[in-house]
Amino acid sequence: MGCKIKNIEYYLPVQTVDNHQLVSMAKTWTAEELEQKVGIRERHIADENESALDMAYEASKKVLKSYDRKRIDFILFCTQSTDSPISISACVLQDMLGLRTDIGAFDFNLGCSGYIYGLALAKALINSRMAKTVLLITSETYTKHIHENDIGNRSIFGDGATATILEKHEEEHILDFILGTDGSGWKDLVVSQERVPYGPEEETKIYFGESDAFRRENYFFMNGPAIFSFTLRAVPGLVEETLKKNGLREDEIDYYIFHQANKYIIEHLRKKIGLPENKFYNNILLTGNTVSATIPIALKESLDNHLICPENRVLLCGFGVGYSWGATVIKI
Amino acid sequence: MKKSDFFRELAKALAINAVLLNQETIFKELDNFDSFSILAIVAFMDEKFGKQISAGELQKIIKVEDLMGLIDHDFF
Repeated sequence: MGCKIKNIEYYLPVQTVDNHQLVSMAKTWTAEELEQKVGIRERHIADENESALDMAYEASKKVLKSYDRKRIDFILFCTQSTDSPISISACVLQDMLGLRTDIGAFDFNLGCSGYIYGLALAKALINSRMAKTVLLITSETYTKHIHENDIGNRSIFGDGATATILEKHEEEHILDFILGTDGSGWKDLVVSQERVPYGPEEETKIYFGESDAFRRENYFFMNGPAIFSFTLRAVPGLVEETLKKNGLREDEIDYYIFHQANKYIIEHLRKKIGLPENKFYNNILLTGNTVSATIPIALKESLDNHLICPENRVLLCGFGVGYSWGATVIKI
Repeated sequence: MKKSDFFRELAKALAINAVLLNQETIFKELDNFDSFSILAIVAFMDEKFGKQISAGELQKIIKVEDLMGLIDHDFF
């Protein structure tokens, strides 16, 4: 006995920001140069009054359109952007969707590794018979934390939400996981308030002896090169260990889907690990980096575009903010 | 690897003319040196030397020779 992904849907906000709009502020690149650098042409931005919960609701409606919502007996909501400091988005979503009240629901705070951890939690709940049908949500509004003058991060991140239904199944379709954590990297991707790891703007030396990525208190900060270095250290071994734990060889995997951080980093990882291009997803052209939503969006797109078929083995790998990382193999 | 090869390969990674690079070159004084250039350097060090630069090491890199200092002497 085990569990299986039944369906995935996603929602992207209506408002978009394209490269032409961004470069008009930066005046350092053309729109085409920016697209070539990050692999992104446009990204969707949540409306001022649109929250991660609102987006999750829209994604959930889509996935529940052809599914009996009364079968849902657990909600897992991955977000770092709750509506208010002590609100529980999963609980509010239960009410918004009109689900049963005799179900479990909680939020968990993870970013780029969030979908992997969500699958692990869903599998644990189903296989321990605490649930039969899990609604796994990822929803993020990083753009709300990015300063309007921070063109670098505005060019990378977009907002979006996904909803995945996982069900109990006679055969296990979510195989074994490798998970990891290194909290020493917390300061490399953060919205800081009281703790300002790198000091005031004029004294900050993030890299290359100067304040290239200066800190703005209460705004999003990312030390891109440090995070890139972290992925180079963590991800190749993570893929190898995940295959080993599942008793699989690289060529026995039909497709690889990594967290879509940006095109350059993902392509470098692919080459470093030696994965074939035709078995590797690398596309955030029209979404940007949607944090915990990138993997489920990629899964959905891969299925819809016949890059993968039902029963294919897909290796999923998430890594980022925390630092946190995880990978698994699923039979889709 | 000869130092001249290092400068040539690094210039290729940065998409600049190799004549612009020597040990004393200050990275931030290169035309169009930006955050993507820094990612390219991280990728270059990983690909050519198997070196993943830490956050602490990144802070100390100002000139090309600082980058070379992160590489095992046996490489040159």
